[in-house]
Amino acid sequence: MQQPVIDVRGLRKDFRNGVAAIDGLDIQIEAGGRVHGFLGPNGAGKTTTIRCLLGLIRPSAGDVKLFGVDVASNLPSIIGRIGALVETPKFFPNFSGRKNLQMLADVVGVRSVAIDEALDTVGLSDRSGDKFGTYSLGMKQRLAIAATLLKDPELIILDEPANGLDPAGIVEIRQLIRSLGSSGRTVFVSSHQLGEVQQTCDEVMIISKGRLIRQGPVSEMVSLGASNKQIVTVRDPAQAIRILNDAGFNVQPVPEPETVHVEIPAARADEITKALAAHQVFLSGMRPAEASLESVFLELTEGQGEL
Amino acid sequence: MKLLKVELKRFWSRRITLIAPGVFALLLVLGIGIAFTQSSADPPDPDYVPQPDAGCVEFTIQAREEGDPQLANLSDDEIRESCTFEDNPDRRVWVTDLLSLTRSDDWSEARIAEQEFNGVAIPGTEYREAKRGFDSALPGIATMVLILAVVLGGSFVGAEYRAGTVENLLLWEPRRIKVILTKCLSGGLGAALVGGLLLVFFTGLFFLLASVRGTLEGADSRFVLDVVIVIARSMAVTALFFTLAVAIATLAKNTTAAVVAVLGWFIVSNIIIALVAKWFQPFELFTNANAVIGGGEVAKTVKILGGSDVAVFSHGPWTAFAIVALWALIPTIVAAFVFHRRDLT
Ligand SMILES: Nc1ncnc2c1ncn2[C@@H]1O[C@H](COP(=O)(O)OP(=O)(O)OP(=O)(O)O)[C@@H](O)[C@H]1O
Ligand SMILES: [Mg+2]
Repeated sequence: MQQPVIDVRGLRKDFRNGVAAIDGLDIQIEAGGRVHGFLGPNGAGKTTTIRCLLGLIRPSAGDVKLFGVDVASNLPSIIGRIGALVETPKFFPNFSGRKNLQMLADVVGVRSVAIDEALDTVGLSDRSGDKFGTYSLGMKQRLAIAATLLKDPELIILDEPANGLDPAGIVEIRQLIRSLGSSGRTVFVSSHQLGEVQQTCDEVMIISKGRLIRQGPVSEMVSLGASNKQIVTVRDPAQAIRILNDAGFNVQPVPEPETVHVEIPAARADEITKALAAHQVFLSGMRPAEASLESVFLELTEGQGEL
Repeated sequence: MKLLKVELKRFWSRRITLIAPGVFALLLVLGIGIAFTQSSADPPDPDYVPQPDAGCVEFTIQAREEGDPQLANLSDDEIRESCTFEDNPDRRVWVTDLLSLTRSDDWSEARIAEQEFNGVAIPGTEYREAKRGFDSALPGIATMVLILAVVLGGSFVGAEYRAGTVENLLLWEPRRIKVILTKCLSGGLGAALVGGLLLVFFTGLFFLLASVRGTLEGADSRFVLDVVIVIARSMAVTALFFTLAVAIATLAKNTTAAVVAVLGWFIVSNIIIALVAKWFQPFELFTNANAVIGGGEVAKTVKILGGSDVAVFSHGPWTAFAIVALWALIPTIVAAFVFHRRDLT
C-alpha cells in the first residue's frame, strides 16, 4: 500500500486562551496528483490545521505525519518536498519581490532559474524588481504562491490562495492548481469559497469547529446537495406566488426581479407550469437551481458554523 | 552555512544597517567639528613656561611630611617637577585625548589595617584598588556603538516579527535553534564590523584634527597599538550586545522592547543598584563592558573601618568579558528555548 502524503490522527489544538481550535481531526491523503479541498467556515480551524501540518504550531494531542515522517521530530528531513502558503503573504516590505524569493531559495540552494520560472508562472515577472511593500494585495498573493513553487514540491499546501485576487487572477490560480495536480503533485487547498473548491478539487473535506464533518469526492458531495429547487421566471412574481401558494406549493420569494423559487423535485416541475397556466399566467423560463457544494456546506455546517 | 550567508546578506541589505551608522558617523563629524572650532589655530606660545601646579605641590609635600614611604626621598624640586603638567595654554587637540593612557602600574593599594567589631579591633583584609582602564573619547564612543548594536540587533529580529517572515523562513529551515543562533552569529559579525568601522572612522578623524590643530605627540607605536586593541575589544563586546538584543527582541517579538530594555537599563541601572543592591555593581552589564573595552578592572565597594565605602578590585577584564558574555548568552539560551517551543500564529 502506498504511504499517505498527509496522515493526521486525533489532532487537537487547544490554544492558551482556552479555544479548542481543532478537536480530534483525522486526515488521510494518498499520494498522486489530486487536488484536495479543505473546506470550512471562518474559524473552523483550517489555518490552525495547516500550521500543525507544517510544524509551526505544536499540537496539543495527536500525530501528524507527512510522507510517513513524524512532523514533530523529523520535519527537516521532508521540508524540502513541501511548498506552503499560510494565511497571508509574509515578506520583507523593503526588499523586492525577487529578492524576497531569492533569500528563501538561498536557504536551501534552489537555482535562480526556478525563481524566474516561478515568477513567470504567477505572472509577476515584470514587477519582480519592485519592493514587496508596494505590491497590491493580489500581487502579494501571487508572490506567495510563487514562493511555494520554488522547491518544486511534491506536496503543496495552500491556505486560501484566491484571497485578494481579481476574477482573472482567480481563474489563473484555479488553472495553476489544476495543472499542479495533474503534474502528479498532491495539492491541499483550504478555502471557504465553495465554488472555488468545486471547480478545482477532486476531493473535499469539510470541517467545522475543528471537526471533520464530511469527506469524499467533490462529485459525490455535489450530488448530496442535489437540489429540489426550481427557479421560475414570470412577469409578475407576486401574482405567481399567490397562485402557487394557493395550490399548495412551497414558494420562496427572492430579491431578483421576475423570479420565484419553488421547492419541488425536477421530475415534478411540470406541475408548476400547469398550476400557473390554469390562472392564465405563463412562465417565461424555468430551470433547476444548481446543485452546489454551497448547499451541502450550509446544510452540513448549519448550526455549527456560528461561534 | 547557506542560512548564515542568507542572514549576512540580509543584514547588509537592510536600510537601517546603512542609516543608523550613517547618522552615528554624522554625529561624530559634528562633534569633532565642534572640537575643531573650539580649538585654537594659534601656534603654541613660544614664551610659555610650564608652571608647577600649586595644589599638587602643597598636597605632595604634606604627604611626605606625614611619612608616606614612596615620597620620603623626594626633594622639593623633584616634587615641583612631578607636579608640572604638560598643560598647554592653547586649546589645542591632543591626539592622546583619544585615550587617557593610564598605565598598568598606576594602581595603588587601599589597605584596611583593622576593623572594629563590638569595640574590639580585628585584623582587616588587604585590598587593592581597581586599575582604571582607558576612559576618554574612544571608549566613550565605543559605548555608544553598543547602543547602536542593540538597535541593529533588535530590529534585525523585530522586523521579522512585524512582517511575519519568521514563519516563511521556518518553512524552509524548520530547525529553530539553528535559525536563531544563525541570526545571532551573522548579525553579531555584521554589527561588530559596523562598530569597528565607526571607531576607525572616529580615530581617523581625531588623528586628522590633532595633526591640523594640535599635536600627535605621544602617538607612538604603543599608543597606536592601544587604540587598535581598544577597537578590537569593542568589536567583541558589540557582537555580544547585538546577540543580547536579538534575544530580547525574539522573546518580546518586537524591536522596541529590546531597545527600551537595554537603553533603559543603561540609564537607570546605576541608580537602582546604588539604592537596592550595591553588591551587584561588579556584575552590571555596562560596568563590565566598559572594563573590557578600556582594558581596566572592575571595582566593588567594601566598607572600611569607620563605615565609609571604598571601591576596590573585584575582577579583571577577562572576567569582565565572561560576565558580558553571560549577559548576552543567558538571554539567548532562554530565547532559543522559547522560540523552539513557540506556536507561530
Ligand atoms: N493564536 C491563537 N490564539 C488563540 N486562538 C486562536 C489562535 N489562532 C487561532 N485561534 C482560534 O482558533 C480557531 C480556528 O482558527 P483558524 O484560523 O484555524 O480558522 P480558519 O478555519 O483558518 O478560519 P478562516 O476561514 O477565517 O481563515 C478560531 O476560533 C480562532 O479564534
Ligand atoms: Mg484561515
